[in-house]
Amino acid sequence: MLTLQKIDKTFQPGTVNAHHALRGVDLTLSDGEFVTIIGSNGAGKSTLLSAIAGSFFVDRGHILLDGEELTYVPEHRRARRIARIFQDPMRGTAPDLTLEENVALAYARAGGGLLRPALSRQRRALFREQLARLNMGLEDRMKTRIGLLSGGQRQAVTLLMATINAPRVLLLDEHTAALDPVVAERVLQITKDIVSENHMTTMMVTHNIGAALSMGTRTIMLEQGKIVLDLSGSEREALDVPGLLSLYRETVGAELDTDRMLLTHG
Amino acid sequence: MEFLLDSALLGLEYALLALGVFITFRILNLPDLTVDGSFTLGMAVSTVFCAAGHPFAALLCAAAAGGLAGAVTAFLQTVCRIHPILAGILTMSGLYTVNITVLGGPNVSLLNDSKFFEQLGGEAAAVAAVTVVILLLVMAFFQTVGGLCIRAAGSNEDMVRASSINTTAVRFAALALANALVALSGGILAQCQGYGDVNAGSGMIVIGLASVIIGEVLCGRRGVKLGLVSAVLGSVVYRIILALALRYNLLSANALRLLSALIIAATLALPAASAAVRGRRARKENRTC
Repeated sequence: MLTLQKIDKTFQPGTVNAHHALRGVDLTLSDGEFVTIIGSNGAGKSTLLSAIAGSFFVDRGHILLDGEELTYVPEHRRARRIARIFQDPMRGTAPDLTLEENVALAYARAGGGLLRPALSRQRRALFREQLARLNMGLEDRMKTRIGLLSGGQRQAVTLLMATINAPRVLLLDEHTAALDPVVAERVLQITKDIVSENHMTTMMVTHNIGAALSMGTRTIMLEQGKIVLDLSGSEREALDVPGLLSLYRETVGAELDTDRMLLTHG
Repeated sequence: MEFLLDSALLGLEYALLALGVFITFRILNLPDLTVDGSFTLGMAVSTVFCAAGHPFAALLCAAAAGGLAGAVTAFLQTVCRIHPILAGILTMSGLYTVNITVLGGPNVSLLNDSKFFEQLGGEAAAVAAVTVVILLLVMAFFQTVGGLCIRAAGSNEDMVRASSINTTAVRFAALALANALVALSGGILAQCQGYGDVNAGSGMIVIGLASVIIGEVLCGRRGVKLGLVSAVLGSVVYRIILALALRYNLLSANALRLLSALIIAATLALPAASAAVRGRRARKENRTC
């Protein structure tokens, strides 16, 4: 169970650029819950994920995972249990390492000696099997430098790497936004499969309103660092994209406005 | 012919310097200027221990001292958040005092002391053996989990920061390893040339970079394993080029540094130069159609 208790964050406090990005966010996710997050630009969606991942420490409030206090645990120590994927497919993999070396690095996060060889025959076979399930032909390109793969391929590999050790929490920060629609659809499908298979608690920020409703079991809406809508169950199932947009208009008093909102039914 | 073999041997004595520079410059992707100081530190420590009658412990302690110097630079870079280049310069400058204190004078001779290679079948065989063993160890290390962490940090630091790898620890490990190799090179050289000199380190970063770049020109840039081998090869070729140039009076010994610097600058400028040429050509074609 992931619990956020009144977390609050101001960037550059005391300056003219002070930005109150998170204003007392309270949120509890039960095990295996899949939440999609929508909101306007600057609403605090990515900041919320960063706070959970530990890119910075929150000013006030607490972050707990399975009852354990994570509030001041540094990012790299949270990463074993909390995996995060960014929008930029270039960010999640090391371009100069081969595909198998990248996966090996992610796999080794689970622990074990630093001086053990990263790749063994056994591990290669395991990685090959995992890559084959992505259905992108990547299992035959394991010795390719990952910088030579396309954005979609790299993002699929990133997803595999993030989940290979079955983390407790998966944070997806618009991870399909930089991909072309067909590839994005494929990566979303892989996401669904991996999440349901591993029963991970998942938070997905998206600009694709259709996907926000069709994926997962709960949708929250952020506005100016606060959760303004929290939909689940039958209330959420009854909504379609126009319905969600008008609900947003009623709640916030403005149009849901982002520079690249996708209104298609995902 | 013999002067060629001699310079090849000298190249092997500097080969670990090239390996150290390759690790920071190409693998960690962060040029480290500690090198000038840590090379002399290794030389000073090796000289002092050798003079005291411990030629093998001399090499181990030289490497350990170099590792410590690298750790100081890493500390300045990470914990103190000082710009990496400046951090290296600070350590290097501070080390001058340390080195002259360790050595106890600007120049100490080892003329009558026993050296590590005397028990290992001669200078050439011993130096070659040490270089090959260390090269193989370093190559193996960069295929381990820890080695991959360092390579990933040099390739995409964003990724490493968001993963469970501690970037600070990676920086410490990489700089300590690189400077340990550099100092070991200085330690070997001190015993082979028979004296320790507090000014021997000046310009070592340029020599290391020149070796790395010559190696890349010869072997291309294809992976870490080949890169490490090519750094060693580059160090040997660098010394042979120097020996040839000096022997046939192509240039004075004083011109070597300038020439090395120019070669490095020219090689590093190649991508920019070829981009400029391509851009100009494209513009010209566009104008004519």
